[in-house]
Amino acid sequence: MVFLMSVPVETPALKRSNTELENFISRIANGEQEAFEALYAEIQAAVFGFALSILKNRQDAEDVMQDSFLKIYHAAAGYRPQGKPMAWIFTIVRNEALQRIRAASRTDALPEENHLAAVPCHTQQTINRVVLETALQALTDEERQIVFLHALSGLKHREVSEVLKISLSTELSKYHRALAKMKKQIQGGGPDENE
Amino acid sequence: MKMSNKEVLKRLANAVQAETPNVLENVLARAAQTEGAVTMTTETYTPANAPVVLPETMQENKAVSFKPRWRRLALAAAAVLVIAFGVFFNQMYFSPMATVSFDVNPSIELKVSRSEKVLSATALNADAGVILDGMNLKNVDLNVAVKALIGSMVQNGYVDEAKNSVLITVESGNSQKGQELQQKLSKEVDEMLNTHSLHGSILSQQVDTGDAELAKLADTYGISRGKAALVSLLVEKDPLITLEQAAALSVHEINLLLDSKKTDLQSVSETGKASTSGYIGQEAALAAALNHAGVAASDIVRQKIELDYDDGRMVYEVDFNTAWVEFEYEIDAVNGSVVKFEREGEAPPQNSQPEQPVSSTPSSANSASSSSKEAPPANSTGQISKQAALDIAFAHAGVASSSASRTKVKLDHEDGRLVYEIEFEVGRTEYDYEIDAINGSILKAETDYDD
Repeated sequence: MVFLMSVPVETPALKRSNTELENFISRIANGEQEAFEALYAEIQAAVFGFALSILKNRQDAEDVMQDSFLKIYHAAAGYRPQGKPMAWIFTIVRNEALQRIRAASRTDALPEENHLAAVPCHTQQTINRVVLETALQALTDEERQIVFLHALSGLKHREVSEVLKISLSTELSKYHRALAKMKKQIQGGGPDENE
Repeated sequence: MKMSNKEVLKRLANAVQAETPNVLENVLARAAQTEGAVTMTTETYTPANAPVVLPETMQENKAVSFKPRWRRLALAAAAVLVIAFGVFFNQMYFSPMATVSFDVNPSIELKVSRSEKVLSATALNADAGVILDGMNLKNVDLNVAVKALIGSMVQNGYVDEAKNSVLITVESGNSQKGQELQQKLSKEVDEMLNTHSLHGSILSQQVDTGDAELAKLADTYGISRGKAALVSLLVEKDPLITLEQAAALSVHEINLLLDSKKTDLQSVSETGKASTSGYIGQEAALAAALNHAGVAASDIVRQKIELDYDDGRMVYEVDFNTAWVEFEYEIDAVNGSVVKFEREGEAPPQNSQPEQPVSSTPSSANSASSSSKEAPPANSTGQISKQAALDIAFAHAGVASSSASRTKVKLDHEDGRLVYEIEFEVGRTEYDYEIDAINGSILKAETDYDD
């Protein structure tokens, strides 16, 4: 009989409360690796997804994901608990992503061609993949970022509008428009339906 | 394939999760570089005193400046040694023929000898602790033990007419014997419940001892392997529910959901039917939705009702159409309250309206786009006033305008039509409306609960 330390099989959607997340952050500030790993496990998909929604290609998103976590590690000491840890985290990710865009603006390497190739044959995953690709291709920048934040973190409209620095009403209308666009494309037919 | 907003978002999240790379190692390595400190080593471990499988991150930990955990791990290692030895000893003298576990809410594992006597009884969760409290099942005949356990569960209210599902899982080296045991125990539990005037839904299955996936799942969420198997079945059938959510449900809830989605249970046998008497029932759920929507049953063209699990509670998903409008409702399965609703589409206008010119800056004098002045009602362009639109929204939401805060009204044009976009909050609920600016019909209504 062997004693196994559990490693999560699947990263669940954000389930930790804000208090728990802030607790992780303050423990990270104290140099606690466990807390950093726990935070990582909890938010890794949210960080990657949000980066992807800004950068639109997976390689850049992965790099920014790394940079963001490094930044979180270093900045944890300066975090002041205000009950909004995800807003802090997403702001870090956003800044790192925008920085990268500015740095690469000459080469303009943005869109990636990573269509539905090499997807395992399981139907549900294929549908999920279609949804993701639709989001990456059919939405405007802001619409996409809004949708990803909602999907990955369960932030409320007001909080999303604060992270993206847009007004709440803009956020709401773009949110609904984005979802309508996505549903139309996923259900209705190909791209280039008249909007 | 028809998708709700919720489904779109969940599928997106699942797709992202599936593609999220694991960069933790790299980050830790870079963090160490930037700090230049090396305080963590693995030198305190030698093969002799660490007969454990260390998580990968621990083994890579040579160059990170986090505080050392070696002390805690050394203790864990020592504890494991003791347990390992104990198990070894045990195995030598009492080899079980099979492991039988019961899951309701309480999760109990029995090791059973060849002569069908109980070798050990373990509580796998707190509820099970309540059941096993004061019971000594060692060397007791399996039948007797099962009767005692079920009896205790009924007495403590874990099984009743409304929550009547019991999961029996058998794990045995001999699948023939395992099968027999499975059937025998099903029958016994059924009979036992009958003596308490209950009709149970008995699920039974065999699991493979060597199934590592299952063991990992069970470990991660602190549930028995039997329950883990059921959870996997549910998650496979319903992609919108995560493993973590499913693992937290009771066996009865999982059974109901599987039932509701007409799942082929595959290797799980079932006798009896999962009781929905704890819930209001599909009829009542539909009635609640129709009532809220102000729609008569005779107007319905198509409907679909399904039991589901969302946001921490069991709900009925009630989807229905009239000739012109699509509705999606979530009704709380226990108390019948409306949890979420969405409607799309509009009935054709009653009076014939000339087509309004489609321009975002209407030339007629009275239509103010986002000015704060209130336009007079039903002005010459045939447009209703902001106030009228607000009244419609408030009425539909069933709230008084005085209790609404952060109210916003905006005239916009969408899809070639003038609409009022209205938002307001009442307490912790956000309301979102789109009202047709010409005829006042509600094009969209959404409620968002902030929890």
